[in-house]
Amino acid sequence: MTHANDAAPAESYYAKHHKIYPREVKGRFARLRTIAVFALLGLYYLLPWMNWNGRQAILFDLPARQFHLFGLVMWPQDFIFLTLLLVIAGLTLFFSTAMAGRLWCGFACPQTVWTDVFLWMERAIEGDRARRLKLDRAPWTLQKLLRKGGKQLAWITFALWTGFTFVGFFTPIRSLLPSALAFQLGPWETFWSLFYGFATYGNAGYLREQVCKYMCPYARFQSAMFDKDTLVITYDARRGEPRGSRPRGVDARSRGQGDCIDCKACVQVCPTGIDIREGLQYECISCAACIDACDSVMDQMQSPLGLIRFTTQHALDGKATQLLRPRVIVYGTILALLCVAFVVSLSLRKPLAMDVLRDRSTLYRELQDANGEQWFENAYELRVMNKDSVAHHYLLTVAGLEGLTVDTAGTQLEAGPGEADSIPVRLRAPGSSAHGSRPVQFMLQQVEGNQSTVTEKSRFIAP
Amino acid sequence: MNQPTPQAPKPTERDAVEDELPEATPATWPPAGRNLAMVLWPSFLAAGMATMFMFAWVDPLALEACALPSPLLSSRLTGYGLGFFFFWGISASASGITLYLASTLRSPTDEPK
Repeated sequence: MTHANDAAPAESYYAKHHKIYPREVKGRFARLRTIAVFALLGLYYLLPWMNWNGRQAILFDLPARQFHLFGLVMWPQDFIFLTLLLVIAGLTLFFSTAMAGRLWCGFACPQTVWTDVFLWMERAIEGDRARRLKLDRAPWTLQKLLRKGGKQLAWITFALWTGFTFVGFFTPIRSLLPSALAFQLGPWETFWSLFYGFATYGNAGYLREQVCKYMCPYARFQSAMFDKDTLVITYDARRGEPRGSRPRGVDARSRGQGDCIDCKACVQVCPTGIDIREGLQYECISCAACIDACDSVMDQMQSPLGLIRFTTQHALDGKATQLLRPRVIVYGTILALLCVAFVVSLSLRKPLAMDVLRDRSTLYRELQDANGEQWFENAYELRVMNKDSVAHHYLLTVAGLEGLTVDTAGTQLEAGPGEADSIPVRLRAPGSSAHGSRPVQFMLQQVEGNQSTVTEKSRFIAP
Repeated sequence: MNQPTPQAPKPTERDAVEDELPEATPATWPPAGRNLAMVLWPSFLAAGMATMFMFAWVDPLALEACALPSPLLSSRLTGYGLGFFFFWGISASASGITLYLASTLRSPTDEPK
């Protein structure tokens, strides 16, 4: 069996790379992974097609600088929510790693999920592991050309569709499809769908386990979150060694042997090409293919299952596994707090925002009223953002100086759902109260519903 | 139980194929490729983050006025795209230099030349 850990040439850090031909495996974890692949990729490929109130349910409308998440409209001002969400996602990864090891890698990582799909296509067209090995070593014939070409066609089509779907999260996908079919996508849409499609094709078709081994930062630092109570895939060496073949149904102990019959099924199914019997290795992505493979062999041998299994170091040493450890409690508490903070702040989010910009061209204008009294006028531009999904009316009031008035007093400002309107306004203050640069406040109140209010500060300038 | 001891699962024609395999199948990814991947991928992630943070606060259209060939930033998508590649270039240079420094560092155990 070729192995990735062969001695490296002195001038390179890397072991020689051998193409890995993972053998297909059946069993409960393989089923679980199939379910995960269908659920996750189902979400990815179908979500952009879902509509909500006549609009694409999930649309990161970058040209308009708005994110639509079902009924919610998120603005750049709501960036804190995205940041929170990313922190929550990161902590969830830490928490799940501390509890159950690299579940993410084996079952949810896009690299694993897309590689699985590309492997399915490869298997369907080129045949199982032995056939693929044979085909790769065979000389080029029409048969080989057809099989290899067919695989490429399937891979490329799938990758293009993946890239197209990716862009569909950013540009309404229902209008994107006709223009894609007519080759009339915009330059950036074309570029990003090809970019994402090519990345999928390369990563899932060719790089595969090398992404995990050489490129993934998480694969390297995840062990920092492990302890002796973390669930990991382990070969039970005490039970398995010394390994060797034996007749079916014969008790290994009576022959002075361990349960492992050294069939190498666990090695052949491994997508990263390691031998789990050598102990926990950072290449292991916890996909549990070796568990399924070993269990089916143990079943045939009429030996108890679980020679390779999900277990903890403590359990393997015959000690009790502790569920609640300091790191689990710390990760869990921070995670729970952040989730609460996220939900609370989202529900308290004001459906209204306002920016106030001073007119930069003129500092102030001097006026005189009918009584000959001196007034000063400043001009501003308000950007009123209605983050709600229905139109609203607003009333603007100002404060900060004696006798300060606004020219829109008494009129209602209007903004449609998810709209940002620029409204020029002028403030006037009598010369008796306006001197130099003074702070003023703009208050905008929604007329309907919960009458939410926003207050923004600016300055009023007079000589 | 005097029957011959079969290996389980039984050796098949398929296993025979594998045993015939030469020890080293051709490498699909030369070390230079791996170096490239190690530089490009983390910097890609960093550039993605930088782009997100940058354009959450700055509208690319606001940069149009101060951009040199200003039509370059006339659409937001162009702004995002160029911004991303700008950040990717910067972060990839940093990653590349780090890799170069780390890989050319002579370790104390090396024989003096």
